[in-house]
Amino acid sequence: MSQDLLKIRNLTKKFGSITALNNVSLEIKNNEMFALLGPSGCGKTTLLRIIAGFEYPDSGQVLMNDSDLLSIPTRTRPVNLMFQSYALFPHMDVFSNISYGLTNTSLTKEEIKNQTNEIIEKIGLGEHVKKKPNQLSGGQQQRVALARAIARKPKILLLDEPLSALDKKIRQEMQIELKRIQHDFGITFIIVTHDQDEAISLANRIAVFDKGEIKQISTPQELYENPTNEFVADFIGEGNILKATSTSSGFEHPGLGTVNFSHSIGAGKPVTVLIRPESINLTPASNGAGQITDAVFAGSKKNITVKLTTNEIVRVYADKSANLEVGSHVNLLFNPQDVRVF
Amino acid sequence: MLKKINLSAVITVIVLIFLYLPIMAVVGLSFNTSSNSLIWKGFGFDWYKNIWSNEPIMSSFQRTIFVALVTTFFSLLIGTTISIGLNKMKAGGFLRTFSTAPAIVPDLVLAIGLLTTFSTISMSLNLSTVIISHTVFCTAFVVAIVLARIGLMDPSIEEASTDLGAGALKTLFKVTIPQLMPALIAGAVLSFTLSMDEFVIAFFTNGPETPTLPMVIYSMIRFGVTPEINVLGTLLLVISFVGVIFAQRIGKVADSI
Repeated sequence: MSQDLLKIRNLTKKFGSITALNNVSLEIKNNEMFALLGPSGCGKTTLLRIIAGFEYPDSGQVLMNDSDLLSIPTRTRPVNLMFQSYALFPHMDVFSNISYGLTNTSLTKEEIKNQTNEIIEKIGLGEHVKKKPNQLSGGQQQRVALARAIARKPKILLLDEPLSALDKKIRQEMQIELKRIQHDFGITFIIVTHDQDEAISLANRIAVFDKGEIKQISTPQELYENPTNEFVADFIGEGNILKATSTSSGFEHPGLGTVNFSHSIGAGKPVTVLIRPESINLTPASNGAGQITDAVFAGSKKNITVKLTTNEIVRVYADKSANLEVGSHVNLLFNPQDVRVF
Repeated sequence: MLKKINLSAVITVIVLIFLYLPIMAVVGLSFNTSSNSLIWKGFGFDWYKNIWSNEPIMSSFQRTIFVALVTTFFSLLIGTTISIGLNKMKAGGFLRTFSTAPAIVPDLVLAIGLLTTFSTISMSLNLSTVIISHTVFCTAFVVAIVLARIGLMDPSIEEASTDLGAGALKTLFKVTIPQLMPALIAGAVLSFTLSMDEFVIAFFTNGPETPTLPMVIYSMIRFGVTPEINVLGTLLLVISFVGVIFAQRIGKVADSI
């Protein structure tokens, strides 16, 4: 048996003239926290619904432990979904919500009761068993939704935008909680989100989607440090994306001048350059490459906006004590190793 | 000191009097002990006692309740099924309009249409034709109410039920219908009260041997407004009111669960 729990092979799904998924392939490992990240309408939700069994692909395969998952009906798939809206049953109390999935199995009443109580205890919902969903806070509702979804002990738990409806403080709490539960129950999590912070803070690996295609699959750090294309560079983290022309030994930008480093693109081609805000140092220079148009104090650092002579805007994180005034002219210094060119 | 007169308050009071005075008159005169309902003789329950021994009225009253109950049952069954089906359809704006149209079509048109249909297929007119006819327009009201409620339902709740391993029937009875309860109760009460005091359609589609209460009242009224009519009016009013209040109460309780 391979280490890959789920294999997705050449999946394509069209809705009329819209292609939601275009020949998507990826592998998800056992016990992984995997995120499908992308802007709305990129196809990530369609993929989630195909795995859950609410949509069927036009072509392609989904294999779980090397056997076909798509031929298993939605009801009996070893996959459960935590809905974005939670989709709790409003007329049932917390206990009935959580035990609902178990009542659809061959378990006896006693076993259902014991297993439900066990989950309720593990997720910390003990005092709310008799309450209806509308008597719970957003965070508590999410715990119920989570408990209900893992009650049937699925091999894969799908989470649709799990943190989007929570406020900031509960988000952080829930992040830790999700990781703990994933570890305790040993379930593979697939998270769908449009929020890069959510994906980066939760996932071991992320697949970045755009227009029905996977742009890059990697660890969060790798996506940030070594994006392989402009979309990922722009989507993950904050970055300055500039248009330049490649030279045989680097690139030439009308505002920044010539930057030398080795690459394999070839000379004289239009390229996209990514420089992260924290990679740039500013030094005052009366005839510098740019002028500071904005400087905002942000706790541990200063967010500086520099306007280049080409009118392009570059954002820089500077030290909070840096003596950089709005209106002053600066030069931009950076290590060519920190620059990414596509 | 002269108080400023609030014009809108005055208009409100006048409108309320205009709306409720006729009803109050019926209720008030039902307690008249005189045999001529227009001459006040004294307060009493004489006519309420009389009415129990009036065989034609009592049997028509039973028929009316029977028709209303059966109509309510079928309207709910058909109306809810239609609503759930329509909700599942992505398109279907045309069908939606058609399903609720009988609620707006003038009674007279509906009555003539139904009568024509029954005579074309040579169905003899009796209570069953009244029930069929009432079901036609009550179903439309049920569809209108249930569709509105179903539209507010989160579609992922039914998906969650499937995801958790429930079959279609279990999802329907354990998840969908409990959530539609307030609408089903409202639809039932509305069907019952609409059927109970419906006259025009019943007049056209009923046979001569089984008059419903509104038909009996109509035949009585041709000889003038008798005190029994006031009593019957008051009773119908009470039943409708109790029904509406009951529906609102239950609706609130059902809404909060």
